[in-house]
Amino acid sequence: MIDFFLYAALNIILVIALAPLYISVIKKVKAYYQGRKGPRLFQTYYNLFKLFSKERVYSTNSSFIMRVSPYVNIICSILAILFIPLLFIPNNTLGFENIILFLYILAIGKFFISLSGLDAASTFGGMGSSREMSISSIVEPVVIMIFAAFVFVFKSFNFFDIFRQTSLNLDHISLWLLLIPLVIVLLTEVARIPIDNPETHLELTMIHEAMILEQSGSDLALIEMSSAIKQLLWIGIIINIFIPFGFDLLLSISGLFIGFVSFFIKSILIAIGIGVIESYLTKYRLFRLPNLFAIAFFLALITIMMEVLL
Amino acid sequence: MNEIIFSELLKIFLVSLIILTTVIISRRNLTSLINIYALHSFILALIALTFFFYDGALTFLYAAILTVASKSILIPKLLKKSQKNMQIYTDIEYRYLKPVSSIFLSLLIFVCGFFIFYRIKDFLGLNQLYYLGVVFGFSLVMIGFMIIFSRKKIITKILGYLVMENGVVLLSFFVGEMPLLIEMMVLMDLLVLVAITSILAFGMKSSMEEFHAKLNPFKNWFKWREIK
Repeated sequence: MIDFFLYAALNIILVIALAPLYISVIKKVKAYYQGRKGPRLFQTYYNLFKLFSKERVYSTNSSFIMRVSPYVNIICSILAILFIPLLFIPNNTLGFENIILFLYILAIGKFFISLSGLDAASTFGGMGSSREMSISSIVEPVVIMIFAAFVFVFKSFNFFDIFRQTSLNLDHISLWLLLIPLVIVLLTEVARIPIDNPETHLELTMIHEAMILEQSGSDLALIEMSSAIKQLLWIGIIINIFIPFGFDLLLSISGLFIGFVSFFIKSILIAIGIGVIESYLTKYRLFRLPNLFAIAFFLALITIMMEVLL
Repeated sequence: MNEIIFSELLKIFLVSLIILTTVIISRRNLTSLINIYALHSFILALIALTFFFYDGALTFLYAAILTVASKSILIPKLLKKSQKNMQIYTDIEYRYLKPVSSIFLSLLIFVCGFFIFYRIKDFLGLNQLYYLGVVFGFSLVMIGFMIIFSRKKIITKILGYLVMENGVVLLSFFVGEMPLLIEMMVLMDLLVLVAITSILAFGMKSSMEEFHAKLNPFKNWFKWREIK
């Protein structure tokens, strides 16, 4: 029991402390590709701090949904952190292990943010929510297929079991087919290029930004923070499945330190990778997105077939 | 080569082939399509090399060398040249199938392949890995066929044909040895096909007057013959 609480505390502190850094890293890489200097690495922290100290403004048309949704969203993200071990795997999981539960927790957060987009009755918010939900409904089968493939490969619904197996041996070559779908899902879930452009506020292109346009002050900070956490969460899944080296299986101080250093290096490398992808690609048209998801779905299903029929 | 390394390497190459095939199905940029085809063929050559190191049969080595020389270097070069002449850079026209439906149809092809060969794999005497290779080869042939009828531009149709041929070669690696002579004949056919198409595309693009001007330099050659 104690090891789980230690695990939960470490995971939550680590994610909250590091999550904003990766947004700055991606911005820095993009700036480098554009020949600019880019913002400082701690700029996202300053932005969040600034937003937390600002007052909140609510539309007169809005209801309690607008007020509670940022909190629901951040709570869902923090709960989701408990499912993805980043430094070590505890023996006791207190039920925070099931893949389906993890997906539903993430879906609840997204559902509330979409509701808050509709709640203020602004045209942009509604449009953003509608787009976000459309994309989510297309990407949902892909996410389910990816996790179904994990279940088929590792014969378990338990995240901790899966990660324990990957950290011990990585002899499932077919699993590498899932890397592309996972990257596509990561980019979709955190609303990045080529699915969405987080830096634009043009009415024709924004998806996630349109939805949170009515949010302000600490509410906006909570939503930004939750988005950063989700990003680190998906990076964590990719690391745990494909490059699980340096993972601490037996709880020890030196193991934790090595785990932290290896996780930090690997996650920074993935963040740089995301920055490179964003620099090379442009945002896809909305109607070209199903193409991307179809590829992801295809690869996930092929993985399942390879595992089932071989 | 060790049995385990052999099977792991083959799996890695087969997985890479699938990824590249999905990209070929959905990509629009012609230059990148040709490059991806070159890589596709290179991976096929690597599969042949893996067979050579495992089996020791020289046919596989020759097949690998021929594949790299023709399909990874020569044919992409010819295709790029004809693309330059045609001055088209993207293929955005589709017939019958859009990229999304193409991908789902390929998925169906894979599923069918898995089930068809599941029935006859014992008859063919295939182990699990070879069964996988045969299914991928068969699916590549069918996907190439699908690319031929779903794309409109002649250059992508050729690419479809080339993917189909890659599938045949892959199938031959896993089912039984294809005689080197036939392999060479097929490669010659491919080269001729690409060359003829390039000439056709080049000819169709130019008018008669342009053609005349382009053939003009040969005039001197004929004159020289007459003088002699």
